[in-house]
This record gives sequence, C-alpha cells and structure tokens, in this order.
Amino acid sequence: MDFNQVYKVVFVKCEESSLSFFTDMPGFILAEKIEIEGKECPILQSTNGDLIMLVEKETVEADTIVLKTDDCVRDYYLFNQKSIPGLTKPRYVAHGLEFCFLDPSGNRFVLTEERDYSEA
Amino acid sequence: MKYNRVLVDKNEIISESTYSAHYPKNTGRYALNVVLSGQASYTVEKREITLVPDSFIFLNHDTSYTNSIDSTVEVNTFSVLFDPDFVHDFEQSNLLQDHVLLDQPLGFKERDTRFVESIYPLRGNLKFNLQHLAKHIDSGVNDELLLSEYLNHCLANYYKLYHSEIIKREASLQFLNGTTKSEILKRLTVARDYMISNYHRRLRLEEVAQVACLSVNHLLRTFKQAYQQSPHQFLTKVRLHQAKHFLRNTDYPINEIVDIVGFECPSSFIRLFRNSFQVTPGQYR
Repeated sequence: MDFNQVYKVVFVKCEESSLSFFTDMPGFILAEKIEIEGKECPILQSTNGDLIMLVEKETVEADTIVLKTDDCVRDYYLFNQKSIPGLTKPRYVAHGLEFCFLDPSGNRFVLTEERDYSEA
Repeated sequence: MKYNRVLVDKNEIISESTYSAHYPKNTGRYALNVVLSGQASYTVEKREITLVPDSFIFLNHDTSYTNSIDSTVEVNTFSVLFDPDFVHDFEQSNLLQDHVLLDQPLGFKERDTRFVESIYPLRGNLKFNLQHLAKHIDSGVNDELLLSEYLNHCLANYYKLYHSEIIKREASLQFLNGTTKSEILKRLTVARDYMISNYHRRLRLEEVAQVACLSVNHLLRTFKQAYQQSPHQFLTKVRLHQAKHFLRNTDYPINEIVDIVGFECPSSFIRLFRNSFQVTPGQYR
C-alpha cells in the first residue's frame, strides 16, 4: 500500500455489490484490497489514476465524490452503454465538462474533465 | 496522408496532412473546415478566403465551394461534413422543448437552416471536442456511435458560438429593421473574413469597406457596434494571435515573424504583444 497516494473513501451499504458494480464499469479496476479493523476494503483505480476505497457501513449517508477524467464524452458514452443508474448527460461548466451517476449505495459521482480555456 | 471516414448517418470525417491538394465544387453537406497548421484557400461562392492556423469556417449545405492547398510547409486540416438530415434532427432534439416534440413528433417540415458563413478562431469546447475526435480517429476507433456523440457535441458547440458571434452581435446593431441588421452583419463578417484572410498584407480601410460593400464611415460605425472594437484593433488582434502561433510552433526569428504577420516594426510588435498578453514574445516562446 502506497501511503503517498490519496484515497477517496466511499462508504457503501454492501461491499460485494458495490465492488461488482464498479469493476463492471468501464475505466475502473480493482487495484488492491486492504484490511481495516478486520474488514476487507477494496481499492479501485480509475483510468485517470484516482483511487477509491470502498468501506462498508451499516448506515450510509449518500455523499458526492468528484473524479477526474481526460475525456468526458467518451466516458459518458461508455457508461450509457452499460445503463448506469442516475446517469446525467454531460454538461458544460466553467471549468470544463462533467456528468454524474449514482452507485448502488446512492452516492453521487461527478466525473469531470477539466479544460484550460486560457490558451484554447 | 489522408483519413476519410463516412459514418452510417452519412456524416463524414476527413483528416489530411498535405502540401498540395485541390477539391473543386464541394456541396451538399454542412461543412466544418478546420486548419490546424499551415494555410488553406477557399473559394466560397465568389469570396476568396484563407483559413489560417487554429481557425475554422462552417459552410452551409447548399454552398458550393472549392478548397485548395499549395504550400511549402505541411498543412494539417480536419473537416467534418454534416448531413442535412443529421443537422435537422439535432435541431429538433436539442432546440425544441420536449412537450413540442411529444405533441408533434413528425409534424415539423424540414427547415432549410442557413448560417451566416464566417471564419472563427478554433478555441473553447469545440477545440477540445475536435481534439478528442481527432485522437480517436488517429487511434483507429471504429465505434460509429461514439464518433457521432462527438459530432453532436461539436454541433452544439458551434450553435452556441454562432449564437454569441452572430445572433447577439446582430442584436447589438443599432438599426430598427431586423432585415437591415442581418444584412449589415453579413457584410461585416465579409469584412472580418477579408481581414483574417489577408492579415499579413498592408490593408487599407477603403479596400476592406469596398469588399464588404459598405462605405468607410458605415463600416467603422457598424463594426464598432457589433464587435466593440475598430477594424484596425481587430486586425491587430488577428496578427498578434498569428504571431503567437508562429512563436509556439516554429523557430522563426522574431524579426521574421513580425514581417510574416504584417507588422511594420519589431518594437511596436513587442509593445503590442506585451500589452495584450502581459509577456514579451521572447518570454512567451
């Protein structure tokens, strides 16, 4: 485990179903599993390098997690093919392009492609 | 080297790197023509237009145009040809409200959408989306639905740009009659395109006004209303942006760049460059 990496902790209702949800999604792979207080916590890595740690919890308050991507249009297209729940169309925002989806625990993920408009 | 791909919805994507090419009498589809490096000449109806690096023109489906390249440096171009039915569907699904579409799913006659044809700088979201599209084309992506997704975004980006560059500017002209506004803006875009196409030459205001079929005074007054700057200020900006391109992409000496982009002396170029971009040309490079 690399302690220099920054992990985004995502609390989920069921580790197993969440893991299968994410590993079935394009762009996420299971990087490793670590044990915290006797519980196995999977760590997922997105193609952009973001690391997400799934931690099972009995009562989960839905959170918003922001992940980066290098191509929002491509990711939206791939997610749409998989019929990901709560998927919104990409929308242009001040810093680029973003879309959202929900995980099985109701957490809202925002996938954002940052665009530098100063030179573009 | 040329890549050419016709999609199932009759849209076409063309990417080309060449020193010499000639394509006469193109028509039938809306054309988004981009020049990424070098220069390409277009004859659009009777207008002679030169696309400079990082600029594009969007041409109507019923416009007949010829494009040619004759250059000592390699010219990279990227074009997307949109089928009129695709543009029509895009307009229906994006510009009409849901309840209108539900009430009359088949009830709309095909509108013959015509745009004011003008040169625009390639920047913002359109540039990013075209870059992504070009990257997928280069890497051999065959998924037509994915490519169409980018075309949809490019079209949406163009409509937004068109709204701010044409519709809003047209509205800012101080004339009561809507037809007069449209006609004046059309002529101003002719003047603007002429300055972009001939930015490297020493241009006289009379010449620009004559091309646009406006008197000098009329051109000065209406240009300022539409673009909040004088034709001379606009031309200077075009020259400075081209200088930026040459500084970034070539190793030409600054004196040579000054000459290429049409400035008369290096000192005034350096001063203008520093005032516009807060860095000297040397620092920028």
